[in-house]
Amino acid sequence: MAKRIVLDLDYCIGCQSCAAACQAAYRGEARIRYGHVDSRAFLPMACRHCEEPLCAAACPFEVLTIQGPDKLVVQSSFRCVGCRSCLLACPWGVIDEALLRRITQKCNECEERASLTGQAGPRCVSACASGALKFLEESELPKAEVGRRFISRSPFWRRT
Amino acid sequence: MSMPAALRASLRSAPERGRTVCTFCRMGCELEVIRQGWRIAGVEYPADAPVNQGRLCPRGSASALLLDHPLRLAYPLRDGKERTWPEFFSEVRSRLRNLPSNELAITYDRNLTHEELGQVYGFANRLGTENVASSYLESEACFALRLGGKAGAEVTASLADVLQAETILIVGDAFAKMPVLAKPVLDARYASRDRRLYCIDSVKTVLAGFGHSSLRVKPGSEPLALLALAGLIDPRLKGFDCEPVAAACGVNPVDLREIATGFARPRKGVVVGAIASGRTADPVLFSLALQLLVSRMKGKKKLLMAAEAAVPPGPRRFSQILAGVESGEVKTLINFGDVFPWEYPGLTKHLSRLDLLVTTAALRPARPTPGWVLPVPMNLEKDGTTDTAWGLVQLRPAVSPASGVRAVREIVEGLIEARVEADEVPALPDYLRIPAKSVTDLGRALLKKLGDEPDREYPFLVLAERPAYGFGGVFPAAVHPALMTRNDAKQHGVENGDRVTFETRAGAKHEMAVAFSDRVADGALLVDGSRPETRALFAHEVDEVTGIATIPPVRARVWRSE
Repeated sequence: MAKRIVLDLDYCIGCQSCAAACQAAYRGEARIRYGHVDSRAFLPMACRHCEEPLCAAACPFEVLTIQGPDKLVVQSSFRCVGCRSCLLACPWGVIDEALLRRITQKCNECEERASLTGQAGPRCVSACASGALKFLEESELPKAEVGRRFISRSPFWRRT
Repeated sequence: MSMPAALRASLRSAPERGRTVCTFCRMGCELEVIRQGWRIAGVEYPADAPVNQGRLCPRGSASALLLDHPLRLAYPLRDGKERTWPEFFSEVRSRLRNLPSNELAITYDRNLTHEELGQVYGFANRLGTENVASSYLESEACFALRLGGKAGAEVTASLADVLQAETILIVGDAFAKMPVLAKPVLDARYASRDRRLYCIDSVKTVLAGFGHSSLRVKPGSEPLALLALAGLIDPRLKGFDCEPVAAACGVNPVDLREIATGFARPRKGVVVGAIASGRTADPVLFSLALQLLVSRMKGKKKLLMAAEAAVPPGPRRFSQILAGVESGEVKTLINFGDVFPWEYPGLTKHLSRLDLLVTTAALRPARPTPGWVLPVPMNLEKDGTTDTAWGLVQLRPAVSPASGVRAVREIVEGLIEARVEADEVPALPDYLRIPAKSVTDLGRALLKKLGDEPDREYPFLVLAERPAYGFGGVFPAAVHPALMTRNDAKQHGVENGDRVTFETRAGAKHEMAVAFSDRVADGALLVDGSRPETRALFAHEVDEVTGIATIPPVRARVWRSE
């Protein structure tokens, strides 16, 4: 089963290491977006590589296609015209509205990284300063106890 | 082979890795720089690194971008114009030859290896000057303070201590100083239900959201909260009763007692202190109070200083050098490192009195700098040992030094035209050993001061926050508005998003937008301290007891801009 980027809210400190790692690797592209809820919860938002991607369905030029054994939704930067149809279609809001080099910026889970350095997996997960981002298969989620303590972290909410 | 073909072949070559230690803070994270031919391809995150397991904060990820950054300095600059190394050596060598040793001062800031520091001391000895000081005005320098006598707290925590700590108290924003420390701290916090994480800060930080108890004390009263905790743990410490101190700090005494109870039991604990320029009102007392607290605790209690750098103090204080510059006694100043004087815009008025200023830098200074600016290697290009929170570590050159740079050894030997032996970096000077009694006296004076009438002319206390992200302008950082409470805004007729003008008591002025927030207390304003314009609001002050120059928050008046 393919692995996906998962956020553990128990650990996220909002340091934006993930966004910095992405920007540093892709020369300014923000392929992971970053949001925050009232300065209290932080939400790095990476592409979920949906099984039936609406961004791909909305794209008028078939720029976004599902590829490889991991079924990644991959963007062909040569064909993209920067029409932003994908970001309007994305239900998770993970595609940034800003265009860079006149095209949209789309996460590819750093698929070229293994061939460059021999290390697999997205850089944002490796870089995450507090260990909040994880790269997991769906079957690993129950064991990982991702975000379990966030809701029960009562003092956090008590002071809001 | 023609050049383009060579370049093409180089870019097709297999990537090479160079592993070293990131020195943007004292965490000691390991990283790898990927080179592909002549190109710096980026950083890699080594999962087998013992401290960080590959994790890096934004500064670490961006560090490789600085190696081939367009602003990387490749030539010496003289008054902002490009010159050559021989021109530099011939001018400064002749000047040093005829200069009386008391008119010369040599300073150093962060980003020097221990070997380079030894070279600087050897250079100063050869020139016969005793004016040697650390110019790293960041208040972290205060961490070098030690309590004299029995109360000395020489109990530095290891990474294992943090992971095994049953109780952790963090004073200040340690996650902003050393973001990668978040993982071991949160691992310790979540390890079992009995574990406790307490936070004390004058600003409601992200870190506070993770604490079991989080005290937002009045700005400047952090040392008092620490002394009250020490008094609760050790009743022999008189004069810091919980109720009056809690009132002075603006917190509930029950919360202070809860933290003291958590630490009183003989179990493993770690106290983390994070001093920040423009945020910690009295860094010297803060540091001393931290040490006093840990020294009064029973059981296995350790102290961890979360800082961007800890620079060994020199035999002279930097405030003495500045006084020498102001009086005209010091005419030539040579600084090694790469943050001075750009990090301290408030000092430039003093430096214009110098006949000659020589500084070193890796990147071209953002603002015009008088005198010589010399290009030096970055830490990723250096070989040597460096200090981290966990002890000395070995730096290996991850890439070869950039074109045009010269190491500290080459510069000092070129100026003397002889070999310079590295001298021993001196041990802690006497002025940094403070008796425990002085700490309590200072604490009592602070307690009295906080009870005094507020300053009506300059009612706001401006605090600086300097988060790890938006680092060094490498990424297009958002302009963060100043934060103030809704109450304060109402009193001053300010709406959310309005532009306001700040004027500090020293006369520094700046205009910026404000936003309402409950992160700060009434009477406080939080600004982004990583921007040069806002850093210029904060001037240095000299501590009465130690003579150390520090950068505390500033008093200011604020009005809505027309």
